[in-house]
Amino acid sequence: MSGVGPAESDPDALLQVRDLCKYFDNDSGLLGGVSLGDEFPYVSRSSSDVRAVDGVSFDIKEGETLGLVGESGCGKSTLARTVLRLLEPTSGSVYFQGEDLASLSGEPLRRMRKDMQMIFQDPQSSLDPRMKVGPIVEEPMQAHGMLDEEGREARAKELLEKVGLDPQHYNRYPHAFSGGQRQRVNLARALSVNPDFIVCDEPVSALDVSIQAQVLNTMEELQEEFDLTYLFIAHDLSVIRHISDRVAVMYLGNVVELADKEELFENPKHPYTRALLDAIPVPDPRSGGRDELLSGDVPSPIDPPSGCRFRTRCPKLIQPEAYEMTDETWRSVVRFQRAVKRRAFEETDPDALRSRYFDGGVPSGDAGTLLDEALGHIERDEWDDAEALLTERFADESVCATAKPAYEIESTLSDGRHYAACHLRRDEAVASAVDESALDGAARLGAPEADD
Amino acid sequence: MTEPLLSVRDLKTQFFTEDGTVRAVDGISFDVYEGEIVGLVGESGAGKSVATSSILRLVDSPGEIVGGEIEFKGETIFGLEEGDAGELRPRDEMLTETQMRKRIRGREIAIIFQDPMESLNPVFTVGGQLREFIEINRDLDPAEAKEEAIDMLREVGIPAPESRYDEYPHQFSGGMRQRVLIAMALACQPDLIIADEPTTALDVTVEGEILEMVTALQEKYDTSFIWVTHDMSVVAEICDRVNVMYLGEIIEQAEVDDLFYDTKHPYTSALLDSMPRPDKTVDELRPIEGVMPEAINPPSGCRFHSRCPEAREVCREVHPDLRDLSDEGEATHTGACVKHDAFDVGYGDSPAIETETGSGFSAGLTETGGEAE
Repeated sequence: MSGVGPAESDPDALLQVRDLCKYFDNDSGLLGGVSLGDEFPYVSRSSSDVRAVDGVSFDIKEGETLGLVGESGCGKSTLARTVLRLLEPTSGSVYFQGEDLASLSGEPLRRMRKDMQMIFQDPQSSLDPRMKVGPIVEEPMQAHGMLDEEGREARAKELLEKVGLDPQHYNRYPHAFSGGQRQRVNLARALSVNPDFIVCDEPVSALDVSIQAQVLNTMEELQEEFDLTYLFIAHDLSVIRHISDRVAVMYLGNVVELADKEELFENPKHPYTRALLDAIPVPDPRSGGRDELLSGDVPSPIDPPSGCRFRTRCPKLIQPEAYEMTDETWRSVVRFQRAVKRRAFEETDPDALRSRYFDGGVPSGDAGTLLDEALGHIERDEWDDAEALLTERFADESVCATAKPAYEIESTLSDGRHYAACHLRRDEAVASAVDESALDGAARLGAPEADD
Repeated sequence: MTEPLLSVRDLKTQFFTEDGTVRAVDGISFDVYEGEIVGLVGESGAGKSVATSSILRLVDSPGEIVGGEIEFKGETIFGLEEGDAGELRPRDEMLTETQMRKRIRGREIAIIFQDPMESLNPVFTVGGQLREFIEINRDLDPAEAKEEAIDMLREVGIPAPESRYDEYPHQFSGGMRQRVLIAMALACQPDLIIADEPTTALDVTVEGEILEMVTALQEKYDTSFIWVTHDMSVVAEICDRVNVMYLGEIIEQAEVDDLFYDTKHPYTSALLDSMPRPDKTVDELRPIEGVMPEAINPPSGCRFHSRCPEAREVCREVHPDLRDLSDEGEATHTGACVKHDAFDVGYGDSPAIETETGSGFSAGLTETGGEAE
């Protein structure tokens, strides 16, 4: 992750996240992780962690919006909560205005919270139904001992007006508001303590399109007026494209690409970003279809793939150096290996499979021998052996599986930095970044992998 | 053109509540032809889901279909006639509840709901539920039904279907569950599938996969779809023809390309303008001001006039019906907005009215203070 790492970190950054990890214990409870065996010692206990966020680094400059996008389960929300220290980080550090939040606790941390606020996805469940809107907005001020009672009421009314509500609504209950209006109440509450930094966790995804646009516009106006910095999480790339200055793409606990908005959307360098961009339906019937869709599910974060975590679904998996297949043949091998893994066919006849998966030619040499062996296993219905053989000798040999990628490359559409965690970018990498971050990154990120 | 597969005429569904009558669906008409995907688009509260439940006669008390006709393959799903005493009563040829249950629902018209977890029973295996459905509806014996169920699971792209057959719904991801429901919907090879926001709860990559799969399966089985959604991007991708709904009414009907490139109704344009785009950077979004009024007390005249940027005095008085606005020789394109010449009610001379646009968001609270929620 050190492509955007501390070596060249921006001194103006409001928030610096360094190598942040958050693992959840998967085996909590008295009998968690206990398994029974046939041999002595019969009962064993192993612990496995869910690596929700695994070595993430980025900066957020004052006054900018960093968009964070990824599929569900990739660790976006965990990252947001860990950054705010609502969750204790497993390792790594978060510097907010120069102070390391990870080392703070108790009263200093509580005072720090005044400057960082959060807005949640569900506007309904984040408001107490038995409190009136006015007191809801005043509560954070009270907690931080701001102003006196009259002052707080005046400020609450002022804020309600600022977020586009009627100050007269001060005495209403949340149920009297629509979804969009409730999200505005959340905004007012977050703003009440005059924060510098707001984490927005999918703030508009529960709203209708037309209401979404209203709330997004209000958030932009408020950012300008109060000089706010946003970490904006969403799964909707259109929303991210609209509101962000820079965008980070997350996959299975890692940031795989980070660049300025235009650069990322127009010149994506990571196959995952491309796949994500390609998957979104465009509101234009003439836009044409998509090229290639991702197949397969996101792997489990309990035992994530080595090297690049996206390699098990990547359409651009790099051929191991040991083989010299044409690109087309290599793609067929990968397609076949994934099909075997998914048990996507019933056919067991080797010739039928050859013509179905290798219409562009069967690999020759070592690769050909291995493939014949695998087809033999399938013919004898030994699916597990075939899968193991194909996976070990082809997929796991790729550089994508053996080394963790981290490259910083030249931005073509903006002057910002462009980080892409993909080995295909090895040759384009900016010289200085390779020297210090790729190597440094490989060493550092290689370390936790060695524990497996 | 041939006879439509499904034809809905002037359908009205109302809910009789303590606060008054909610006209959730207020006189909509549309057709679905064989092998096409028809979109039904609108914001929440537009009446999309009530419209689809009405087609299957699944509206429960206090709701009731109070008027209109629904014909499916020459049979009457719903139709009223005037009795001797002037009262309205169901026509004789209208299908009975038993016929609906045994012949139509599931077999001829299947439905896929938004939340797959709520449509699957958590205490039975996925395979078991699928098998039972096939067994009952296609009169197969259990062994054949199981084979068919596994085939269907493979068809919709579930990996290792033999072993996943014995798993429970919670062991499937959201996208996989939705695939199971699509398998279930397709299992009886119905002529029409109603998909009620099936991809709304899914990730973009999964949504993309499902849309591709539906397109492929639709070509293979030649099934017709009614695709209910609020997402214009999904509409652009898969629909052939689109109906745009606002507050219980269809306000524009067109082929998908015409809807996006020759938009006739200000609401449709506003909806398109308010969306952030994934394919280009939009500097400023133009949201539709205000919120959708309650269907219990809809605005007079054109129902959209209270939020419409092009509203004039005449819009407050004249209630526009759907009229054909297409040029000669083009595909039918109907719209309900008096700004078009086809209406000739003096829109051009009418003074513009102040809409909620002027007063910003303060006009936000609903009339009933939100008690309806």
